[in-house]
Amino acid sequence: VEEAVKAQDDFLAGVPIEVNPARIENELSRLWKPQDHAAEGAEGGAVTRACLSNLVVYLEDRAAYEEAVPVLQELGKNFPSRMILLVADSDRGSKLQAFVSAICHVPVKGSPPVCCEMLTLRAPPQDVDLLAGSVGCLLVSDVPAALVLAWERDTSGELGLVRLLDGVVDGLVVDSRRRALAYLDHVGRQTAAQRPGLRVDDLSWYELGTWRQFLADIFDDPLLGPLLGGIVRVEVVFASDDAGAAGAKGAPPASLLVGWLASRLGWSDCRRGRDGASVVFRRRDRGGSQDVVVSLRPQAAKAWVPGAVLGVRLEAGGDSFVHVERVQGPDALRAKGSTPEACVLPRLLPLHPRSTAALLWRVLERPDANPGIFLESLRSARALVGA
Amino acid sequence: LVNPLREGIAERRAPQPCTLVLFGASGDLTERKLVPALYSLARDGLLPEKLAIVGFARRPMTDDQFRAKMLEGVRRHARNFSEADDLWKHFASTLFYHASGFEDAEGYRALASRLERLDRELGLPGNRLHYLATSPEYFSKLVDRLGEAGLTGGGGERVSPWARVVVEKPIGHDLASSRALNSSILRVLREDQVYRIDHYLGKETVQNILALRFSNGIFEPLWNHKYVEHVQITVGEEIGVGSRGGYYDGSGAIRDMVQNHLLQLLCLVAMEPPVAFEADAIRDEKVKVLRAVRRIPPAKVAEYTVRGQYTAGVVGGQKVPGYIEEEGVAADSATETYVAVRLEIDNWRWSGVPFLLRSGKRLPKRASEIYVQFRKPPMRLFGDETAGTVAPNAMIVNVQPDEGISLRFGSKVPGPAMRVRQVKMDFRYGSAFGAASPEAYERLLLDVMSGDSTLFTRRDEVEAAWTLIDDVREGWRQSGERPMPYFAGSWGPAEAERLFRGQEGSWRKL
Repeated sequence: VEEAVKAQDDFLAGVPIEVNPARIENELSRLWKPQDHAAEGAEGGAVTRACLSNLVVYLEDRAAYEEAVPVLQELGKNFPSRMILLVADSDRGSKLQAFVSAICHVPVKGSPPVCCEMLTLRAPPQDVDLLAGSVGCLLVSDVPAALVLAWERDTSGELGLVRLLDGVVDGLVVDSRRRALAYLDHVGRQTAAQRPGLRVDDLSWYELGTWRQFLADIFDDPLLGPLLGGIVRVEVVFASDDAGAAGAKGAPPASLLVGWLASRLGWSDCRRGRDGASVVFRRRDRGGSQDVVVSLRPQAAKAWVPGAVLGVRLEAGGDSFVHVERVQGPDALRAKGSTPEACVLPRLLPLHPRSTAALLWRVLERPDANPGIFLESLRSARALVGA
Repeated sequence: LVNPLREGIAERRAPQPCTLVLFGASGDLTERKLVPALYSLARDGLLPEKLAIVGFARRPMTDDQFRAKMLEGVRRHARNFSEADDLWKHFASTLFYHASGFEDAEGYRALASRLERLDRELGLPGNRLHYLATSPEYFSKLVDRLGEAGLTGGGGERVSPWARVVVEKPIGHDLASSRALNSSILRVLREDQVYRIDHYLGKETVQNILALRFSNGIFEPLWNHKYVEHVQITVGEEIGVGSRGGYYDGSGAIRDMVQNHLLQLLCLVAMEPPVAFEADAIRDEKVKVLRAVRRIPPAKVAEYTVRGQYTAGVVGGQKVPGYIEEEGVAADSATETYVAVRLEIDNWRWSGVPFLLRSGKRLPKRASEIYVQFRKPPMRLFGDETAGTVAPNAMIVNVQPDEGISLRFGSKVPGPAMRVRQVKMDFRYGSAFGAASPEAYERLLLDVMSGDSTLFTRRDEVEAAWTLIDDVREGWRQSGERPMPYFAGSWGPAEAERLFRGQEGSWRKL
């Protein structure tokens, strides 16, 4: 009895309890039982179990697992979900191992804790199919299920996992800050071809949301709106820990931001510029077509996370331009612009950098209404990187 | 698209940079609610990038003294105060104080100069938001003085620079005074500049009534006289009149609570779907409900209302005095601290469905809810023995505390016998979304800064509500009867049960 009580206490405290992989639901019922009784008898001490989604998280090794768990625990406090961690790492040969733990927090002082469950399945890397095959029966019904591929370091395996989980998950969450855009574009195309209804959301895309929003707001201004049709040069500055690192390869968010501009403004036929450093898109206008020269410029900036977008300058004909830059103290985006008709007053938008947990929360709670825009932007970004 | 970058990006209801002038800045509302709400918005990154908050009151204070006073309020009342960072320092730098009497024209001219100076120093575009958190007797004069000082001019709803005025309840104390006040305000301002606040409309659960009704397909078909037996709306308070005795004795429960909060809740429950989720479309439907509520002729008021006044009793394990022993209350006061009203809505949807409203002080607990009781099934298939313990189906919207929605229905008890017992299905904000709901004032302040008047009441709404309340008060006046006594800590006079005549059910014990 003492052992059972300790297991229940450990479970609620977030300590993983090893359980029989074939009896996970039964084990969970057993571990929750004292809480259910307490709730029925209104004895106090009960917890509220909540589940807003199923998150299937693929982690390719123990290091990825160690990195992901605190993020998912943080997420569980804001967006209680059944988290199913598939860890391709095992010290017990080909045997499937299962662990369960709870994530609990008190949302409002004095209220009962709100809890959700984290289920961890471990198997050796060659047995990814064993991990994937165990997911279906563990999903909570009537809430969405997403496969999160946000902690990978190499590209092997996940497309296979996407295929294995075909029909099981409703969406895919990736992180282009960690992966080559070409790979993500491949994932996007594959999933679009095989499962047209499957959503693909990118954490970096959501992180760029403030930039996209701010740029859209700026061009709502009737003085600046007409500039969009006449852009001839774009420069995006991104943070680098090495000022010598050039080109788009080290800057997926910067490429994605240009990809978004290109997809929204109808720029196509991406090719390398004559200087070898810039990239040229073709923009159609009434008189035929016009080149748009794009350059991505690294800037040594220790204060920012490498890859973070620091500035965007859009130049149209004449002296017209819009320049948005990231400023510190407090963190904000500052915009200024000029047209032949007027000098536009500077604007400021406070920036609230989001942790990975907060980005995941945003993706799950308020997904983009039109996910196709991300895939189109990704395609243009990939063309930019590949040019 | 005019702006192709806009595709896929929602129009941001960003609050615009402005100067917020809090009239009555040395009072309770500013310290307990308004400034803590503004701080919470700042913590959530929802305030405009440029903002000045100017406190305006008679009491002499420096900017720094005002900031220190507000810090106390924020510490005690903001839901997310933290000293771990320098947010307060930054927020405090946006706070200023201007001492002046509310009727002193020179004080307003000095205010205008100060606001212009702040515009220049802080790069503000000249938008003005005047929040009248004063005693209602100053509303009219205050708006006049603002107009004279040139502080009320401005463009249309979303044209900068704008000037908006937030008016706290009560908007008058009867229909005549409400009309007079509205007319006086509208001599200086346009209707689109006036934001009449009812903080109940800022509560998540209250807004959720619209979401529940109009974003789900399963409830609306049942939401009418064919399926609904009656509706109860309760706003109960555990507290007495406290230090508000003087004000409350001239007001009473019907004017303090029913005219605004309870009738607003009734409107949201009973209104037809608006043609769009826009301020005027929603307010048009609310006005239609108020106009469809059957007026109670003074001679019949005793049939449709019960009023009470609390006597000494025990609340929350503490002995508490009766109403007439409270500070500021006349010893022979006939003011009601409890009121229950039965209203009928004469329209196609609700004909024959009573809406029972009640509100009181010194009830056993603080609880507000909307209870919708559905009709029983046409026949009792399971008989009295098995289904005798099953109450009719009901939907309960908990407005506060423990915000959420419950659905009550019968279910078979496990076992060999066919026994049916009542069970409840609960949705709770706290557990479903994990995060604490923002305070009502946060949402409402943000809405004013963004120019969204959806959750504010329009002149015709306020006046239609007063029309109903005036009838009841006239009936009470003509009858000359005193309110019925009820013990503090009870659910009000037992007499209130008679309002259920002909209906299944009774007042809920919350």
